[in-house]
Amino acid sequence: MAQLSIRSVSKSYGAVQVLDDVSVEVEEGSFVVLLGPSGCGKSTLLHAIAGLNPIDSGTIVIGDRNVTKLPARDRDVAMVFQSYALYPTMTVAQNIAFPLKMRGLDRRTSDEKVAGVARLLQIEPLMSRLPRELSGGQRQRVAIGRALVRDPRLFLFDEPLSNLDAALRTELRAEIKRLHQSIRRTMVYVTHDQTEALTLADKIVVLKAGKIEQTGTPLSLYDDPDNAFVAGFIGTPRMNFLKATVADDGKALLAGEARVDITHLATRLENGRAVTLGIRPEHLDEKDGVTLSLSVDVTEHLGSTSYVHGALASGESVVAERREDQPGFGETITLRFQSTRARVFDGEGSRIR
Amino acid sequence: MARRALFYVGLVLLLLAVLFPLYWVVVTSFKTTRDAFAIPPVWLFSPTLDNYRTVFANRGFLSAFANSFTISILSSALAVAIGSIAAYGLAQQPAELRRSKEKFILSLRIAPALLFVIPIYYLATRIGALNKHWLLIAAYAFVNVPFAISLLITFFDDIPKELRDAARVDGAREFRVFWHIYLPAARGGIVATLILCVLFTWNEFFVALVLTGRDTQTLPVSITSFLTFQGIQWGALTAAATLIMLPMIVLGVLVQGQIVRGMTLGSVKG
Repeated sequence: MAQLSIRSVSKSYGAVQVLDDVSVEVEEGSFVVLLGPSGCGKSTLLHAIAGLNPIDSGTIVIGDRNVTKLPARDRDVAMVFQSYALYPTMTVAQNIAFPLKMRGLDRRTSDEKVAGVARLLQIEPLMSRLPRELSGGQRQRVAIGRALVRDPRLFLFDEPLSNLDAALRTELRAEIKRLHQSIRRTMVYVTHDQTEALTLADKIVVLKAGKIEQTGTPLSLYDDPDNAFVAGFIGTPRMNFLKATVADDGKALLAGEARVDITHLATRLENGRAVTLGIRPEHLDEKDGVTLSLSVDVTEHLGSTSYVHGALASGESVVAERREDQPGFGETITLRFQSTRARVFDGEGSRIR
Repeated sequence: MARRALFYVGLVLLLLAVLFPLYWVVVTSFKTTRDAFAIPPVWLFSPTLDNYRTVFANRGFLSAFANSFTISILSSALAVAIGSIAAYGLAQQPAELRRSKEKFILSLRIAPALLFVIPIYYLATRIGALNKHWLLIAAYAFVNVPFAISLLITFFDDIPKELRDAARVDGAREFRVFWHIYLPAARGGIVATLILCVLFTWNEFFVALVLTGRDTQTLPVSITSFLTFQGIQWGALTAAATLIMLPMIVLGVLVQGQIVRGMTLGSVKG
C-alpha cells in the first residue's frame, strides 16, 4: 500500500505555475528523492506534503487519510530543513522535546524518548547546549533528532545537507542511509544533488519547471532515461549530446565521421531525420566499437580514472572517461563505444527507443 | 589630523549644547534661591537639600509620581502585548499583503496626538472616565501600539521563517509558535520596545494635560504646579525635574544595550 499518494497536484504563484499536475506514489518504508534544478518546484511540493503551503488543486493522501485540507500539525509528518531551523533559545534537549511537548506528552515519557534519540544519533554530550554553540553537522543531527523523536508516519527532508561542507555531507548522507535502513520509515527527500539522489533513493522523481520528467529507480534513470533532460541531469560528468542524422533506411545514425548502428531500436526512423545522440563519458573508453576522434583540451586526473575534455571534428565538445592513459593538451585520441550504449532523442528531447 | 581635531571640537560643542542645560537643572536644584539667581552665576556654592524637601513635602508631586509610574508601565505593557501579536501576524504575511497595513500603521504614528485626544476627551466626559487611571492607560496604549508594532516587526523579521514552518510541522498552533519560538527569540527587542514606550509615556505632556483629572495627574502635568501666581519656584521645579529625569536616564542607559543585543540576537542563525 502506498504510504503517500500525491494525485494531480497543481500550484501557481500568480502567473507562475510551480507545480503542474504532479502525481507521485510513495511505497511504505521507501526512500523517495525529489530531484531537480533550483526552481523546479521540488521544495514547493515538499512543503505542500508537509501542509506548509496550500495547493490549488489535487489531493494528498498520507496513509489512509486525505490530508489535503489538514494543517501541518495534524498530518503526522516530520521535517528537516536546509537551514536546520533549530529553535535558538532552546537547548538541544528542549529542541528535540518540542514536538512531544506540543502533543502534550508527559514529562517522563518525553525524557525517555529524547534520551533514546540522543543515543541513536550520538549527540548525548550536546544535550544542554544552545544551537548557536554547535557546528553545522551537529545542528543537522539535532534537527534529525527532532524529526525522529515523534516517530511520525512520514519523514520529509528539504535539502538537509546543502549547508554542510563536502566531507561532512558524505558522512551525514551515509548516516541518513543507515538511519533509513534501521528504522524503515517512509522518507521523502528533496535535493538538487544527483549524487545524493543516486546513493540514497529507492525511487527518484525528476522534476523540471513544475512537471515530472521521469520517475524510477536510480539505475533505471541512469540506464534508461525517458528524455534528454533526465539523461543530462543524472550522471557526472553529464552525458554527451551529439547531433546526428538517420541514414541507411533507418538502420544507422551518422554523427560526424561516426556511423552508429541503431537496428536495436524498436522505432524505425526515416532517412535524413535530425536526432540527438547521447553517450555517457564512461562508455567512451571501450576496446572496440564505433570510433570518434577527439582533440584534447584538458585532462582531469581523479586518481583512479581521468576525464578528458575536448572537441570533435564537428566542433561539438565531448567529455570522455580514460582509464588507461592520460592524453595531454593538443593530442588527438580515438574514442570507442558500443552502439547499444547510445541513446537517441528526437528534436523535443524525448527518447526514441 | 586637522579633520580629527575638528571632529572632536564639534563633538565637544554638541555635548555642551545637549548636556549643559541638564547640568544647569541638576545644579540649580541644589542651590538656595539666592545662589540660583546670582549674577554673575555662581559655579561653586554650598549645596542644600531644601528644594528636595519642598518637593517631597508636596503631596501632589508624590501621587503624580505614583500615577506616572503605574500609567507608563501598564500602558506600555499593554501596547507591547498588543503590538507583538500584531507584529507577529504582519511579519508572517507576504510583502504585498503587508505593505498597505504597514502604511496605515505608519500613518497612525505620524498623525498628531491632538487628533485622538479630542474625541477621547469627549467620550471620557460622556462616560465619566476623566478622573480614572484606566483612561490614561488605554489612551497611551493606543498611542504606543503603532510604534510598538513597527519596531517589533523589524525584530520578528530577523527571525528565520523556517522556525515557524518547523514549529508548525512539530505540532504547534499559531499562538504557540508565537509564544514558544518568536517571543523568546525576540526577547531583546521586546524589552527595548517596552522601555522606549515607558520613556515616551513618562515624558508625555499634552495627552496627560487634556485627559488627567485631579487624581490621575502625571509628573509632566504636576510639575507645572511649581509655576505659581506668586512666581516660579525655580529651586523646587529643578529638583522635581531632576527626580523625574533620574529613572529615565537609568532606563535610557539600559535601552541602549538592549537594542544592540536585540539586533544581534535576532540575526543569530538558528
